[in-house]
Amino acid sequence: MPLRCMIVDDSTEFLDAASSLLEREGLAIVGHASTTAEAVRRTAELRPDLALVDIELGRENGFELARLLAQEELPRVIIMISTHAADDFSELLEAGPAVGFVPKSELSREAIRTVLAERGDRLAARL
Amino acid sequence: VNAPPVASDSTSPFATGVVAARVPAAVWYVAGVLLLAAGYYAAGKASLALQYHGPVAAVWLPAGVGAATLYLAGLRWWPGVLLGDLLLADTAQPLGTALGLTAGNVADILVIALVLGRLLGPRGALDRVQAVFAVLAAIVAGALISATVAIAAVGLGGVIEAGDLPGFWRSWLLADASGSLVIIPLAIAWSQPSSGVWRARRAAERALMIAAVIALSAVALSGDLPLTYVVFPALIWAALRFGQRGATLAVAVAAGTAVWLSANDVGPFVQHSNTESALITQLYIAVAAVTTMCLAAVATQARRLAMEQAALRRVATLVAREAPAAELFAAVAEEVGRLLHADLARVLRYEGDREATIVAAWRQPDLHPVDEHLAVDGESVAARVLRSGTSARMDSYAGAPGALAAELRESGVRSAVGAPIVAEGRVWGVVIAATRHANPLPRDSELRIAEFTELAATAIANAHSREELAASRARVVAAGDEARRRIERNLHDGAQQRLVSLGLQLRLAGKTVPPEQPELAERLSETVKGISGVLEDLQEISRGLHPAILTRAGLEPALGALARRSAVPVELDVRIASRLPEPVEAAAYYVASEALANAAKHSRASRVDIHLRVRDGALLLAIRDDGVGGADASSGSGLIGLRDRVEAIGGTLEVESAAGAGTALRVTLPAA
Repeated sequence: MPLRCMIVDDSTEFLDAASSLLEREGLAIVGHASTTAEAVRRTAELRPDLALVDIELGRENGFELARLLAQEELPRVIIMISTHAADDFSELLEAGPAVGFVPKSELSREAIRTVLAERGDRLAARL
Repeated sequence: VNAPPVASDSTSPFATGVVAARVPAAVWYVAGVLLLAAGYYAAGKASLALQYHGPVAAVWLPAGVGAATLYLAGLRWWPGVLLGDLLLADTAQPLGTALGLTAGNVADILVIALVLGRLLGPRGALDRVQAVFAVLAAIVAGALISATVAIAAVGLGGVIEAGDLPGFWRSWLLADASGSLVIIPLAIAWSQPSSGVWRARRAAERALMIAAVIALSAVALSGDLPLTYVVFPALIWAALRFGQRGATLAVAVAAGTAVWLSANDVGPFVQHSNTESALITQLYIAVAAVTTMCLAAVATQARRLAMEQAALRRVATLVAREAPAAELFAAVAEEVGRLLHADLARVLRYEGDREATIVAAWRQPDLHPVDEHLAVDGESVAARVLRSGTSARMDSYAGAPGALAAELRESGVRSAVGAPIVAEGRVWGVVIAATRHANPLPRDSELRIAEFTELAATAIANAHSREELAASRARVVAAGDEARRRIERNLHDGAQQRLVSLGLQLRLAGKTVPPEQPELAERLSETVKGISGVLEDLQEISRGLHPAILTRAGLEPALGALARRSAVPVELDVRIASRLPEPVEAAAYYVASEALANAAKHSRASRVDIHLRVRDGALLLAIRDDGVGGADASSGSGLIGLRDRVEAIGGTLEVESAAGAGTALRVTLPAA
């Protein structure tokens, strides 16, 4: 059973490109969201295994959303994504509930698997 | 009935107001009139006692006594003059002649008092040469009237032969005028609040000066040689060292000695004819009096000018070194108060058109202290200046309407003068000096205060320009920051996002390439790598423009990111409880960023320490490296740009960079 994945990003262009690529690589992209409110509603509805959350959601803050999602434990696993480099946000990544970070330009099934495997998450086995 | 142009105070000149309050006014008035009559009579008897065996006294003192009293205490005491003069009347003369002479004397005194009121103002001072000549003019006018009425009276009464009338007229005129010239300036000078010159001299010096006047007069006037001029050094000493009080006293002593000796038939003034003796004495007194008083006036003026210049220089220095407003206004109040010998001085700032705030207070701290709000109402100097926009005075608060006037009256303030502080075309405030003395502040007080208000206005305008400049610098910096943030955002949302998506699409395309076309797959993969490189460049650019983390998460994580990327290892010690204003975060961030860049480029440091605290509404940032030092904050380094940025938001930046001792930057930013 493919990994059920949701992407939260405020750029539709990126959502399209990322979905196509990850679908092609065998993940199930069950939904998109562009705002915090939409993301909370849709995760409750779709119950994905994994959420990819952009650090910068326009005026909203991806870390805030990650915290909200983590409180509900829906989904259990959150990975932050950004056009910025990881070391720009390391304090916040460490303090946040996400299991890891993948730069947007390097997004792939393999990159997600590496992050999950590093944390010893059992979801890695399904990739 | 119009009020006379002289002081019309209810208080008698002969006692304090406290006593006056318990005694019925009518009793008080009668007592005052009788006292004046007695004084007038005594002065007349003294003049007659020193008579040179002629029909006319050499020096007629009662006119001066009467005129000085009426000028200083008010015209309403005139019956005392009338009564005293009638008591002095020669009963041997025909009634008509006696009454005529009395009428002339009373007219003389009234004219002097009125002219003095006109030219000097109420209870004026003799601190200018013009004032001395005003007194002279008043005395001559009075004496002309008195002498002319007198020859009419004696001529018509047949007391004197018609041929003797011109000589009689001249003797009368000069006797009257020389007596007044001694008495009136003496009374005016001694009724003034002491200007300090007299009191500043030791009692021994004063006694010595008076003794010198008497001794030199005695030497000059005891022999028959014409040595009168030897008295003048003593008079000059009095004029130069002892102010108006000393000058008028010395003249009175010199005149008294001269008349007394001559009346006793001693000295060079004694001639074959009594009229001639009198004439010489009178001219001597007139010359001595006018010379001494003019000299004293000039000396007073010079002394006052020097004090004024010194005071103005002190205030101007404060203006030039941009002293805090409170300090400057306090200095203005004190200097004005001291210069005008006032009892209190205040600087007020107007708030709208009904209120004012006290911004400086000198003396009487209980009455209107600093920061007190006042309703500017009724009749008061503050209200008049606010209404007219020019200087104003209240020579008396008696009967003035309004709560402010009542309050001042109660606290004993009797008169006040104020000049506006006109800053940038608007009446910003007023400087007021007030006195509890019966004598109002001198007539030129307004002009003298105005010299200080001009300085105050300059300081206010300067402070305003500085504030505007600072605000404009802060706006320029803020606008620059805002532009960088916007460009960073546009770059992120536009080019970076699209390149990221493009890269993903190319990777997707790479996956759809059939295995038999490895070259195309290779090309696509190369392109994806190229895009990644461009994205890294863009990351670097956008970080330099404005780090997203600073806006997103604040100074502490932003400094963390900075430290991680630094080529020189950084030890961070940063404690910030909450987010700070954007310009403060940006300034602190750029200082740290520039310092780290400099450390990496020039210092050959092995370690940089960044210490940051927020305490008492101020951000304190210290950055220290262990490198070679020798950084120059004044040359075209990035330090100048940093200092501009820091100072633009009201902060300070210090650089310490001795050669071989590393470089330390200390920045303080207002963080409230």
